[in-house]
Amino acid sequence: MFRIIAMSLCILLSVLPAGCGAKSRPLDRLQYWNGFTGPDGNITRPIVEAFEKSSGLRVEVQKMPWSTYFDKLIAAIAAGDPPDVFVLHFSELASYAEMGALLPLNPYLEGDRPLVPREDRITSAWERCYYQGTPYGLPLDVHLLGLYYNKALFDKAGLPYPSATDPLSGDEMLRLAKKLTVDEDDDGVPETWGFTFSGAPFRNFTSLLWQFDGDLLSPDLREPAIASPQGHAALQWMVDCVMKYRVSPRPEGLDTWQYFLQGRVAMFVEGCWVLNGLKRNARFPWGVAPLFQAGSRNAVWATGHVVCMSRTLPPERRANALRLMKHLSDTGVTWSTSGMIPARHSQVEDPAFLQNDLLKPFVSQLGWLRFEPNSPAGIELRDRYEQSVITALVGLAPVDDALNDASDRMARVLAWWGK
Amino acid sequence: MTQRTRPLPRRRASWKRLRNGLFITPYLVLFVVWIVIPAVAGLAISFTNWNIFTGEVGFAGLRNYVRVLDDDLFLRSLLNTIRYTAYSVLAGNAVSLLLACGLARGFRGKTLFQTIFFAPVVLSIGVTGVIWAWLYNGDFGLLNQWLQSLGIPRIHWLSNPHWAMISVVIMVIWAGAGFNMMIYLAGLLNVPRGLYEAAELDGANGWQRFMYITLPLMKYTFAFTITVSTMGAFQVFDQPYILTGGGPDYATYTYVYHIYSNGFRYFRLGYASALSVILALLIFGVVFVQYRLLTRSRTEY
Repeated sequence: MFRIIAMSLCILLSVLPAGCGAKSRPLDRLQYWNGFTGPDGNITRPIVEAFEKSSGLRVEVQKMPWSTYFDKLIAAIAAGDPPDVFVLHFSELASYAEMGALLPLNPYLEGDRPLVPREDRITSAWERCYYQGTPYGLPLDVHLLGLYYNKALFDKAGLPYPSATDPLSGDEMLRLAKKLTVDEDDDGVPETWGFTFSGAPFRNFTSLLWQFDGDLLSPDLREPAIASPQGHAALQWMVDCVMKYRVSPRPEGLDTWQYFLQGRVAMFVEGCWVLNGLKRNARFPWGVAPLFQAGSRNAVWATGHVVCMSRTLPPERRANALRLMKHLSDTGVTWSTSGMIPARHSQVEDPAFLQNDLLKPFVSQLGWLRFEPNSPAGIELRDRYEQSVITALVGLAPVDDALNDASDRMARVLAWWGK
Repeated sequence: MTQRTRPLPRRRASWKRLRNGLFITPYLVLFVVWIVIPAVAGLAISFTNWNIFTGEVGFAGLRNYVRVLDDDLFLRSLLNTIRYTAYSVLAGNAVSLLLACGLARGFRGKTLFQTIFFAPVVLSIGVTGVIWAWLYNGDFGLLNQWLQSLGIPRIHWLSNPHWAMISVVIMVIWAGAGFNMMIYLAGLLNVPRGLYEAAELDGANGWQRFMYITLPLMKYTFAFTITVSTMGAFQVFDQPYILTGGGPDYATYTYVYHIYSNGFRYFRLGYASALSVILALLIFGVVFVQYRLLTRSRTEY
């Protein structure tokens, strides 16, 4: 019996890997993996269909929620069966590059005939596709924060709408938020809140930190710089909104745009990616403005999508994968209808793009974009300091203690990555 | 009359062996492929600094195991997990048993209630997490509105570290109690009715019948449910991942969450494997002691 079982096992184990893998896929059939499961996924379809028509190649688009996307991507790359093209965010690129997961793209982006002309690249976005001087991807877009507001609640309070191009100051923002916060039954819990921060508080915190002229890390990215007077000012501003002025609810993990859709929040801070969701679901008139400026300078948290190839992709598949990557980059104007800002000058200046009024507040902020540190430890650092930020926002620790805690945690992370 | 057993003819015996082998092969194959090979590989990886993308392997000796001493989240996540296990196993099994006792009494509409109690088990954790995140929301949630209508101050379920873990446990019990309830129900219905009738004639009240008949006769059911719940609780991950993201301030950050973060977010596969080996040993120890204690008494009627 043992022999029978052993034999069955051997047969199965030898058969399992056969028939799988990027090598066995026909060369004219590409796989494109992304996390565009929202309205942005619908925009991907016509873009890919146009590619299929012009190239004669077939593309299987696999959309997965971002929460599970990376687990599958890592496994696929490690197994030597990567998708031909896949999407990362700027903030993930450094760690994937550091680990050797990505194919360097120097020959295609830095030669005499680069895939995308140098003069057409929006520098701040394209720089984020480099790690230690090597390019690893083509940016599809940048996406950044804006301030969404409920026009009906503004009308009810008799307040003028925020400008679509000039950011509110921190004081103006607070004044509006106080007037829009309504506690009709006076039970200490407003029926309508003035505004709420993004569901991921690190986006607000970093924006404010940079506005107050601070930073997360020292310029050489080796030391935490978060526990600074600037960090204090940024976090204190947020804490005051929640604890002192009571114009913003505590962050409790929910997608804050759902509060907004229910009419329970007059203004909320979120990225341009929610534009299409609001267009489809909001039952009231609404508008969008640039992120407010509470500190001494303008700054807004941003990231972007970048299309990459894996180092484990068989060489014979790379030419077609590059064609798809170039097509995705070339169709930035169509992609921008998903609420994203293209990463190429020609597309940002394209009349078809400029017609989209809802994107104007985001375009007006393009000079103030700030990105998280381009460090392989970036994701872990964010995980650590964001917990400290939340600790302060929910009143568990004074601002300085929370920042010192964040600094200690970040120092540990940096030490680990430095080993 | 004695019956002589004749040995099977040789061909029939080998066919029987072949047939038995074929029956267990599918399970065994899956067991080896999904459990044995990954477990052995995990143990081996824990002594390396394996780069999952490039396949580079550097021998790390015991360094990954020593590193846990330098990792502030190792102890934090372990203690959180122990706390979660204690709450969820005790309260979860108590709720399941209570529901099963109620259903075992037999009443009109019993099947409907059975279905209602079991229904959350088939919901995906994603759906469960979103439902409960709304219920728990401190400012907009239904739970706080009910509390307030009863004159009880609202609770910040998910942003208060003391309540956050309890919130996770309540959600898990709601979602999973129906499963153990069915096992308890089967156990309860297997207890011979005659014993209850005899006890009743002897004047035993309901509590005494439960303590001296039901509990002892269901010890193997308890051993199974508690052991399986404990193993599951030590491996809790998706519930806090979806409901609280491990917060606030790592109050619901569990051990497997830590393994996941190290392995799949920070790409420290060697360290994550070492953490997994430690967890496996821990679970083995706890479950071994637990099972011995639970099945120690030899009550038979």
